[in-house]
Amino acid sequence: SPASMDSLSSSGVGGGGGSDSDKRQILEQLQQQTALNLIQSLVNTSTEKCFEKCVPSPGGELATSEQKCVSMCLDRYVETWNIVSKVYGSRIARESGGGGGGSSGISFQ
Amino acid sequence: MSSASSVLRDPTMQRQLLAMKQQQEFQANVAKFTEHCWDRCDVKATAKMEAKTSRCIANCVERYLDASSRLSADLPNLLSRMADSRQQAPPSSAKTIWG
Repeated sequence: SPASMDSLSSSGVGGGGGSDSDKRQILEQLQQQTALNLIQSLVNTSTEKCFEKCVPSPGGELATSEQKCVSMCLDRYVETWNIVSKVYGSRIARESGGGGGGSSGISFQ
Repeated sequence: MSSASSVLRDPTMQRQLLAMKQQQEFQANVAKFTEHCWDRCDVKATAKMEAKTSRCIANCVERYLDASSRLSADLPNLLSRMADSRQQAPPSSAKTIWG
């Protein structure tokens, strides 16, 4: 059934209205939207940084060297992201008493 | 009763929403640190990242968090000094408060 607010009028289990599958669907959609926002943010920022770094004087077209630079730049930006995610995640785990499992980070391969 | 608000009152739902919110905050901070440390460490658009650069990035994050903790620890003191200054005549310059 479509995850619209109308479909939540079906009787449900587990406290509160709405079926479990509706709740799961809502969470999944929220998760997807969050992931999309994250990718969007990564693309926007890395584009800006890599344009700055690789195309100091925008010409009539993007030179091959500039294209290569942008490609490597993106790789390095994602690598930077992964380092940050790892270090930050470890720090949080350390400070919450050492146990807390891995970071809740997303890592880009 | 069945409505959107009753879905949100479900404790399991609330727990999961909270977990998602925390993850979102984590990711937002990662994005912020990445941008900041990219600039600070002058990361180059090369085929391979230099070891000193990756060290710099790691240090950048750790030191930022140290500074942030430091600031949070000092905050009560700072706030009480601001309250004190309110009982006196208004300071002639910001130096009086921030000393």
